[in-house]
Amino acid sequence: MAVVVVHGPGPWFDETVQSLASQDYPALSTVFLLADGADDDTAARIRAVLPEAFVEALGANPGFGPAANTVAQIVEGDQGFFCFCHDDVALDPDAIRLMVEELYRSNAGIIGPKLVTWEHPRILDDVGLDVDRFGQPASRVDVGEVDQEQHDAVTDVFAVPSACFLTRADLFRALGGFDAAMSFHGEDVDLCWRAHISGARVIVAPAARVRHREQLESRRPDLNHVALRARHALRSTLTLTSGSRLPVRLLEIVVLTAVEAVVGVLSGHAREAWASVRALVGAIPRFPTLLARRGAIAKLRRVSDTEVHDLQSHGSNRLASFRRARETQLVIGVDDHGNADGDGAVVRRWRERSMAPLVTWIAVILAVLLASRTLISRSVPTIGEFLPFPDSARDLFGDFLSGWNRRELGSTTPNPTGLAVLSIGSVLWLFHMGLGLTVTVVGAILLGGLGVWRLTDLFPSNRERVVALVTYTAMPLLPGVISTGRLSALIAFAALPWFVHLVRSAAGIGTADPNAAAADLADGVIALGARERIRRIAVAGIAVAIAVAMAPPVLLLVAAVTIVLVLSSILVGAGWRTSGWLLVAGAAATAIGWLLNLPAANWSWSDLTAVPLAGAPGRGLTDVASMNIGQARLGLLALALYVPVVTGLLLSRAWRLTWAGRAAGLVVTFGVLAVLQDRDALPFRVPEVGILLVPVALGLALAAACAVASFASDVAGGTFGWRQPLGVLSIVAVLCGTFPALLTLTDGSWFTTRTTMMTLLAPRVAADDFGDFRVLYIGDPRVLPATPHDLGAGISYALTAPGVPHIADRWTTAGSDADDELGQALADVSSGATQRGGRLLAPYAIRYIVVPHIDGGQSTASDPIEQPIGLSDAFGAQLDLRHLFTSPTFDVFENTAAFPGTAAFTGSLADATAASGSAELVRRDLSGAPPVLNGTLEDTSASGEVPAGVVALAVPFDERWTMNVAGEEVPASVGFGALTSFEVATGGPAGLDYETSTSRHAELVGQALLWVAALVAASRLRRPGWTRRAAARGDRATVIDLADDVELPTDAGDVPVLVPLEPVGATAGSRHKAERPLFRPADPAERAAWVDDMFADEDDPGLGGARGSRR
Amino acid sequence: MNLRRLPMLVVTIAALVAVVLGAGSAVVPTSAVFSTVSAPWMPAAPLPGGLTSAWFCPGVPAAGEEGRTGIVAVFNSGEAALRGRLTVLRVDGEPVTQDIEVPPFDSKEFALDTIVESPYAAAYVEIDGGGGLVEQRAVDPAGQSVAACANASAREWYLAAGDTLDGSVERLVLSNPHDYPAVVDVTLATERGVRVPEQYQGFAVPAQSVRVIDVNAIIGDQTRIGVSVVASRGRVIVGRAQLLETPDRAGFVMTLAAPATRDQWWFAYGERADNVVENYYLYNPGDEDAEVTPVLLGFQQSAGMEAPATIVVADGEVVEFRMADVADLPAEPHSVVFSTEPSTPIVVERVLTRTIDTVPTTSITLGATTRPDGYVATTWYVGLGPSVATQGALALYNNTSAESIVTLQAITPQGVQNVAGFEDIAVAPGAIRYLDITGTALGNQLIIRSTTQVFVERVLPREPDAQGRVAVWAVPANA
Repeated sequence: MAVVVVHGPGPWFDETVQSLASQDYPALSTVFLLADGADDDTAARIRAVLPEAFVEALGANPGFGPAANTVAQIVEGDQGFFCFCHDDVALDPDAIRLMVEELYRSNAGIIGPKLVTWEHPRILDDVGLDVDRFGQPASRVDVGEVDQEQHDAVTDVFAVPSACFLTRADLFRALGGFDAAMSFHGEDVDLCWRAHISGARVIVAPAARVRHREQLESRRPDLNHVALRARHALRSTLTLTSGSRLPVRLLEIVVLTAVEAVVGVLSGHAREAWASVRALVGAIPRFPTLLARRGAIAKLRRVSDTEVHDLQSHGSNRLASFRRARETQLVIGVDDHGNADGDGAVVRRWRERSMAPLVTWIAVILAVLLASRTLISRSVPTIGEFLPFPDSARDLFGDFLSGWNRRELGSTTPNPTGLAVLSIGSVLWLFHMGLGLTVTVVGAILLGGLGVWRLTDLFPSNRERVVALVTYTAMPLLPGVISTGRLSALIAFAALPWFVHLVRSAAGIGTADPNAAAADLADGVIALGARERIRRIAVAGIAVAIAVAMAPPVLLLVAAVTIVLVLSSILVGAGWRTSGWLLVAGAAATAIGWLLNLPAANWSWSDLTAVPLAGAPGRGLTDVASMNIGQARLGLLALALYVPVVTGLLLSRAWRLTWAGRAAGLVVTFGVLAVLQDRDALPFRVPEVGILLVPVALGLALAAACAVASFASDVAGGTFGWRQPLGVLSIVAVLCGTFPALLTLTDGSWFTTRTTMMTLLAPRVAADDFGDFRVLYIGDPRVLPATPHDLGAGISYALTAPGVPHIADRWTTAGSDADDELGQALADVSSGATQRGGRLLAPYAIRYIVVPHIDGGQSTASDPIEQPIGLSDAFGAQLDLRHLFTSPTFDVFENTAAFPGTAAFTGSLADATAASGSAELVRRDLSGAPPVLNGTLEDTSASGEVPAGVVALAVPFDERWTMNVAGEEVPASVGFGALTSFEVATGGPAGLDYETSTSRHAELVGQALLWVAALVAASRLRRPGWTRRAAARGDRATVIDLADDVELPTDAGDVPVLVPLEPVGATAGSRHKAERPLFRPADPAERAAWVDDMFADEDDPGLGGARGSRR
Repeated sequence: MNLRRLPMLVVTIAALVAVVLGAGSAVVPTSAVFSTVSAPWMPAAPLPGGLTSAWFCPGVPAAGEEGRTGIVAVFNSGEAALRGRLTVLRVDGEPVTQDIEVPPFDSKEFALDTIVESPYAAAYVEIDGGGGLVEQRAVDPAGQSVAACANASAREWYLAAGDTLDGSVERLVLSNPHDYPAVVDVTLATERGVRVPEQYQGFAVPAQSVRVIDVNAIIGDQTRIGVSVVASRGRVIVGRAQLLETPDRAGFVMTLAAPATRDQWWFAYGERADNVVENYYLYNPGDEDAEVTPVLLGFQQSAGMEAPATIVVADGEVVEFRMADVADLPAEPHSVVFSTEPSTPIVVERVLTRTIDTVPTTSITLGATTRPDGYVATTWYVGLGPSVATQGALALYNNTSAESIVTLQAITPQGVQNVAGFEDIAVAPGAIRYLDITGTALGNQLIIRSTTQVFVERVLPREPDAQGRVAVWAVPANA
């Protein structure tokens, strides 16, 4: 009985069916189990070749093992054999017969054929598996090993692959079939292990040859194959190892997993290492299930565990597999018809054996740490967007959940998702918030490098990945953005390579087969199933969402990068289909990134772009092109990196040309945008230059990799001509371009300034007993330490709490009427409409006005940003602003008319809170109002004594602010035109609080659901195993009875029956010493007749002679 | 050749070439501008409609001495009553603030020595709703001096034409209207070099107070004294009380210092006559030598007249430019502008002495400047005008290339009225025009409206019924 489990059969399937139809084994029945459910097309294809075949559609796809188990339900009888096959094998016509013969000859329980590759039958695929004591299989042949009959002896093995093997039906039933908990991977090892335990023999009959496509990973990209392997191996080990060995084995597993984690990370196999860790941890809750299975297995045990252990390979196949995995890789070539413009076929190729990745990564990590040594030892200075993290991650998360956004003047604007991201991300710095910024900055560099590493996995050689990694992390942009505190640009630097990697992955673009270059393969593209494509898009979307949560301008960036990639792909001839998928994947990921940031993502175009300056920044073409946008002066050598952009297009072929084109597209588009922005020549606003240069940096890194790849593959070794010098020029240019990075190593702080404006300013604007107040920063937006609000003419302002702003002040909030009023007050100061500007600012609790000149980031003493005209003069001219401090770094004015953010007005002053216009405000000095309910602005709640009168709260009017005085609720009313106040009739103990609305709770729930949905879509989660197994099991009627259908051979000839079917443990040929017969011996005469008949071969007299002699 | 590469190659090379060719030239960064009106300028009348306006008067004698006094006059050219506060600062003691109210189309004068007693008292006036006009008149037995009040305090103040020759007394009056101390450094440029008086380095001007510095006590018997007052903290108002009793000069002048150095200084009024001595003092407080070009305007130059040569004003030096030294200067009214490079701004003051019947009358006038953004007013206000008919009381210089049509208006109790005979007066491009003040214009606040940008100086009688004239700028309207 040939049992074929069919899932999404491709064109090759016809050959599979045909091979079964061609078997010379008599009375072969075939059962096709359609794992995808009823499929008329597949059934028709089967019946076209095998009209008698039985086709059973399964309700769900439980995986190969559970699906194959169905045969135990639909076939009755123990007399016979099951030959389990994948749907991507093609058996030689005599394969089944030879296996049956050998099974009898060797009295084996399970027998496997020699598996060879589908396309090249001379290349061995498998001849049985070695399995170590941890359940890890290892092929007994090397990848690409040519079949020279070196494995043609019948051999005992520990396991045979499930691709095709034959087992006795009674044994299969006795063992309980495949482990129903194992969908894919490991089910064959587990079955064979149990066969050994029960005393059966597992052998390979190399005479039987089967071709195998072995493309499960590409056919089922939705599965986490690495995790499945690790989990199932552990399950087998924990349930099949004898009780006496189990404690030691457990200890070994724990140690091995720890070693593997270290080795895996260092050797670039973190995924495998993580899978092992996860499997080990995941086994803990499965303990009862495992225990139950051990009980069931114990009933099978007929052979001592020592004997089974002796059959297993020594050492750890897992550790060995790391080395093995480095040696080969799956690449995508031309399609099955040899075309370069379709979905390519996945083939396994040699990967060059090299320590270069490990050495490079160690060098890059050390270099980054060396270049960041001052940041690590002394923390990141407070410049630009580099603002310290708050003390508590919990508070940060509390802020996110709150319905009140307390930044700036305060509002009901949803708090940014970035707060939640930072709060959750603080686990990375073990909730030591002081380390948060340092880890973020240094981590972003390495994350960006890792992203480029993953992206350049599309190059089959390590060389290009190394070049791309080094070029990207050595880009002069890094000191440029770090020395100026451009956190958004740094996040873009970290996120963009991942975005491109995930989008190209979702588009199906993978590593191209080097051998396919001759066919001008534009991209190595595989066809992805809808589920897998959605999963990859969801992953990309989540990555975008996280980046956008931290830096909203990244949303525009990824959208623009998507468009550029698509257009570049079209221009470079990558094909409409691939370009279309890139567009779909990029657009969908961008949309998901935005959706996951809802409801806080109500950004306008201006929120996502740079605040306008007075005019052109005017850095100049060379500075922009060489990315000299910070304090580092690294010279113009970086311009050399642009050489490969052109030479890559000239020299490359095939998919290298495609990526050279995409790289050029990124460089040209965003480079031109950056230059035009620098000249103020754009009719629309774009993100600031640091962000615009990130795609340029990525393009340059990709171009460098393409140049190296094209030199090695398209230029070197060819006839000497213009290509060779150009190729050499490219390599030299890449080397020159990365040279300036050495200077960052000597600096140790990415050229950041140690003494920044905030260092000097913080003590002057710190909180004291004044009560709640705010600090207004006003000036050029590039030197403001918080999110700037544009006032026009190149002037912006920012509002913060006392002291040093923190990271949450980076996010902009939507304006309210109060913001408009504040803007008008500043405009009045600007226009000279009043000399009492302090009184206008007082209702907003603005106590200090800081005019920054040199922040230590974008403006330094050696390269200052020119001070805005009339700014200090306008504030200095105010009669109620005390010029507290002046220096070349900043001016500080103290508002002598200020009153606390929560202040009590009594007597005649109480009436003044009703002032609703500037004209009224400037006439009254309200500075004497005492503070009450301190901490309200920071904590959104406070309690204390309040006098009778009016309590003014310096936040925009919102009736959800509630005050309770002596048990009586005091409703909020409008004060100072647009702010909140409470008219307290009788003084007493009071509490002030903000009541979060139910709509905010609903928003949070909705956002959480969106994230869960995205995570589910991004995961490989499937229905729980028990439900799938239940669905697959169902109530299936017996459709075949082996006892009825199989006409056993008769002993008509002189074919020797070497071994009649008998208890495995008692067979003479068995190496096992049976403790107790498991199988009831068949009637010898009956068996003999059956076997003799089967072996009768009139055309092979020689065999008969041999048979006679054996007998 | 793989044709697949061509489109992207062409696009890339074209873009790179376009960027290199199109963006190769440097772009000058543009400065952000928060406020142009707050930049230091000459006193100007704000437009009504603001929230408040403030006027800072440099100071007047207020010790209560006989014949030495001073007033602050507040003018209301609007049809609504003007309300505000007058705060008087003094050398010793707390400031005194009082509410003020000026009826529509009217004015009020406040004698400061009736409010406080102080050697010199300064005042500032805050007017609710903006607008208004405030000037001061300082009275001394040697004469009267009218000065407009500044619109804002400043960190720097300069004077170019100091004089401590025997018989002359020069005092600097520093007032601090803010409620925190100001700290200033005073530097003097003299014929003997730059003097940095130690006692006036880090000199504190307490909050809301006045300080008087006797320049004669620092350096006596000097002419051509340039003064720099630079605040290292805070902002002040600086005025100069100059008493002149020398054979060549006589009178009392209380002027506001210049709150900034500039590269152009304009003077509308000038006269070539035997009894007139017209000298200009050019002070360069900067660090580099300034090359200053005087250009005489407003008259038909004769063929033989040579343009004045460029004047080199070394850093920290005051240079005197004598109009008498200009050969073949016709005996006509003239205007003059002094220009230098923007990188070497200077301060220019004019000392004009007219001698009648052996009695000299000297006036010292700081030049006018354009606003930092180049603005020159088309409307000018005169608060304190002559109370007697005065010929040539207003000197207008049209500094444009277009003819200007000028109308003189007076603020009378009935409102704003055109002054009969002074309507639609044509002023040729680059020409000077003198206007007499008679009739309804006498004793009233005046408005000079022009269709082009003009500079307007008033040439007032030294005192009622006395001979001699004192020149002082009208107040330009701020826009």
